[in-house]
Amino acid sequence: MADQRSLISDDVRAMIGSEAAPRVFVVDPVVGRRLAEALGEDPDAFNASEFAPSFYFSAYESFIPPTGIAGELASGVLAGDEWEQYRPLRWGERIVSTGRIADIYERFGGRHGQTLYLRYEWRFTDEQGMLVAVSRRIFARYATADAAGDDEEAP
Amino acid sequence: MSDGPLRLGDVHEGDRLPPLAKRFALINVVKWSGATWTFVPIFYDRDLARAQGLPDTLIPGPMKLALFNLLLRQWAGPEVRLRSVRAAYRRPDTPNLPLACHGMVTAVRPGEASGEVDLELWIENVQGERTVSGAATIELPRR
Repeated sequence: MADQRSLISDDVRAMIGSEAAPRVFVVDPVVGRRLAEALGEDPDAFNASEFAPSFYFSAYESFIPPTGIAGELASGVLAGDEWEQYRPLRWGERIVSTGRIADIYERFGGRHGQTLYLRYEWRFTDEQGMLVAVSRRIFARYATADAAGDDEEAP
Repeated sequence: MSDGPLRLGDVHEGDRLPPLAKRFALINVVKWSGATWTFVPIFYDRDLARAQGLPDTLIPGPMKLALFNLLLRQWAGPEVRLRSVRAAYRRPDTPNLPLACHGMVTAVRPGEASGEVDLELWIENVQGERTVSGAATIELPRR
């Protein structure tokens, strides 16, 4: 649309690279049981192993509130998710996650009209400081009126 | 295919994985939200979801990503080593409708003691539409 203006102001651009405070998680078998139950699985099938199931990574919150840019595009969805897992998680170990806004970009004229994409990157390290996993997540933000819910895929 | 955990020699390009069928109710989503301690209203507030033009509350993307993990575990065994997985959430999925998670082997790369297997993964809704498209790489022992 000709009258659409970019929402990526200098202030928004300056958010790229900003980091969230580190978070510490314990790989908790109780959480593992609850996740399995939520997925309709038998929790006992997952807790017998020394390692947490790979879906445990999905439980890590990896979202940084996009303060300052959400006002005009009020609706949002998770558009894409990518995980590299370098080793399985062990029950009881402590994991530190550090996240940053890796990129912010926008698209005009898609199914949702103007859409702003925020790409977050999280790195997960163990108590020895070894990298355990990297996650990249893309959140799409668009105007409520355009949220008819079709193709959410990030470009 | 042999019994027990999957071995690299059991796997060939073009193999289709046995599909995984799920139907999540709202309570499953609420349990997921509680376990992950992420309470996004669109996952449990139907009025809000409809006000945003959606047909119902949504199933969280990470919960659908977890289905990819379950599919791989069901196929390759509980100790399957996942190297990477990705998902593009193409369409919203809502509670109480059947979902079918599918996979197909796209490449097999033998190494010395183990090898890597690339897979295309996807989730279909009851209309047969792909609501999630993705891929994964797993590690399997050679023998």
